[in-house]
Amino acid sequence: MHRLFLHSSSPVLLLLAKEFVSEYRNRYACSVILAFSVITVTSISISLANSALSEETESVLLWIIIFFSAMAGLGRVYSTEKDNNTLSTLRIYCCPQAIVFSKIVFNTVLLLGIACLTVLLFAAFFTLRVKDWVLFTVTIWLGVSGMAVVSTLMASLAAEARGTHALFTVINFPLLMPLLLTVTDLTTRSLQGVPADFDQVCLLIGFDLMIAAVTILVVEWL
Amino acid sequence: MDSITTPIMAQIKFNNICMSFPDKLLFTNVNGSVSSGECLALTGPNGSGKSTMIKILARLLRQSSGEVSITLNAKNASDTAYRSAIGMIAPYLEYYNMLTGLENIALFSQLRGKAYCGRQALNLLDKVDLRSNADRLTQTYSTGMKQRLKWAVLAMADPPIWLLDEPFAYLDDYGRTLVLEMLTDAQNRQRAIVIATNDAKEAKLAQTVLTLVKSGTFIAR
Amino acid sequence: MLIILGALLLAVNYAVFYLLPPMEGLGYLSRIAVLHIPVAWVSVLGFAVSAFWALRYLRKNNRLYDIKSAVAATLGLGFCIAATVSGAIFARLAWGSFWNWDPRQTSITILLLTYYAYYGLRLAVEHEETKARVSAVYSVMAASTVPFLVFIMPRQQFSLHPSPVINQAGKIHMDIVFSIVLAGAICFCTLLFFYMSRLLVQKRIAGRKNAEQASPREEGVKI
Repeated sequence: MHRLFLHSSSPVLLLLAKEFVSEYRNRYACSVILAFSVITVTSISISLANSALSEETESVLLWIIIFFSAMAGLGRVYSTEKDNNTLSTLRIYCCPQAIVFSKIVFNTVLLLGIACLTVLLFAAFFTLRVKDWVLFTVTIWLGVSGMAVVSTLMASLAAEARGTHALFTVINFPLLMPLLLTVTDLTTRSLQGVPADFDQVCLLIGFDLMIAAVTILVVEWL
Repeated sequence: MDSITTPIMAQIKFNNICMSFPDKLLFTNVNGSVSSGECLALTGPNGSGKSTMIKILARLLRQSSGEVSITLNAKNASDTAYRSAIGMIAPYLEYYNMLTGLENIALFSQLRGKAYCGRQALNLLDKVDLRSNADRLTQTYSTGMKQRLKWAVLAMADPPIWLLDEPFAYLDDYGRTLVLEMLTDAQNRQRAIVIATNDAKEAKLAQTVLTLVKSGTFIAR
Repeated sequence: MLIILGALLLAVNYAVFYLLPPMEGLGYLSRIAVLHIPVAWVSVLGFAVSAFWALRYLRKNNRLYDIKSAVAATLGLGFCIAATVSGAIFARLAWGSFWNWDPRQTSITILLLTYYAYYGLRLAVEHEETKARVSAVYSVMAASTVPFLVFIMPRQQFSLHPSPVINQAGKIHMDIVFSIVLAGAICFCTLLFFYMSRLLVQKRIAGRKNAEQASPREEGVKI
């Protein structure tokens, strides 16, 4: 008898294991996101043809690419379940909190991976000189968590709608705008070596906390 | 093979269930109850609302009015307990393509809180003749095999109440005999069973038959 | 109710054109503020009211609450468009260009986008109950991000927008007459919002009843 990875008493861990193994076996989301990031960065790099980017532009580009890669890949957690008729099965066997939480964790890990990859690509193609590594990492971490949580919730909403994937991006974008505006500014500061505006870091943390609170509030109706 | 626990006496009861959509009244005033060891069949022509009724019992859909309740050992079940008390087979409930048959069984039975026992799982797969395919991804299964896998998962999770919507779909005669055995076994083990089916022969398996008439009300026989 | 609204409207109009002295620095342009501030306030209120009814719908599953939530969002959208346009006009008259992505302008645009996304979501889902549940969840989430957009972010960055009424010092830096007129205008817009909500909700309920009666429903046969 072979070893079974799916051995746990916690529903969240079980579902997480299921997500990772499914992803590993068909690599659907990963390949889409990878392709998106690489294509975007290379096309920008080619178009610029070695001219330098200001820190602000780099920061904005970085976050735009992360955002759109997220839009390309994070909806998968719910859309494939809906398409394959497994979402109702899950709802019968499992409580909504475990379902949502496992998907949030999966999406956060996935998005962190995307962010790291994009940063590496940027370092390769553009001159990414980070002067304040602490601020840079903290910003990416906080920004990615917020984005992943919101995207997971929006994915569950958009999965109910018939039709195109565009709805997922449309409903995500306005909610993530405060986050995006703040993180681009903070990332610019980290690239320039300018000290962070404490208010903005607080706003970022506050936003993430608020989103977490709202998630706990609405989770049973997702 | 079963764990030695006292069987739970479960009963699912539905009162005055009425289901209507903005443009259509599906059924009104549906009543019934199923206790441990009993079997109820929901029959009726296509479009009469059998699947809808089962979905209401499973809480996948909300009824327009009326109530459904489950009592476990004579106590009313809370929302969480309700969910743990039911298991379901339906054409619109699938399992994970990217997991093997064995992994699906392990996942869903553990989600139900049952400790995973590899031998029991393999025995169940044996009963539905999927032992040789246990380690292949579910996406490689034929529809008949997938249906048998659904039975295996349900038998492994083994809830007090079984809701079956077209449980014999896609099965050839051999498959049908296999799962019929599982059904009688479940009834002997005091599981409450509700079957929704088009087939009059399958309806005969049940003690009580509720027929949904196209025009919207019920006859109980 | 209509009489109160009419009276308020007349009173505010009269005050704006005859009683209001020019504000320092802005001159007679402050009159647009009497339109812009209440309207912007109501567009934020629209989110809050919509989220309130959305949460009640999620708890009680009463379709009426969903209608109220959607109506609040509709009206909020209308007021939001009015706020954006009046703000742009003010910007043109005061500083020379309609749009320059001032933080407040960014915020109001995002508010507009959120309302638009809410509508997109409602239109995309067909099944009634799912539509109600999904848009209710979205409404609650949208309302939770609104405070960030409207109250927190614009105060952190430099903005040409005149300092808001509820500023950090907690004092109102305005002429008394202006304050009273503004308060009157805010009352007017808020009352208008609730009055129109009630009208629209009744209209939608009536419309739904008509649709239900008009379609041929298969009735049960008593046996």
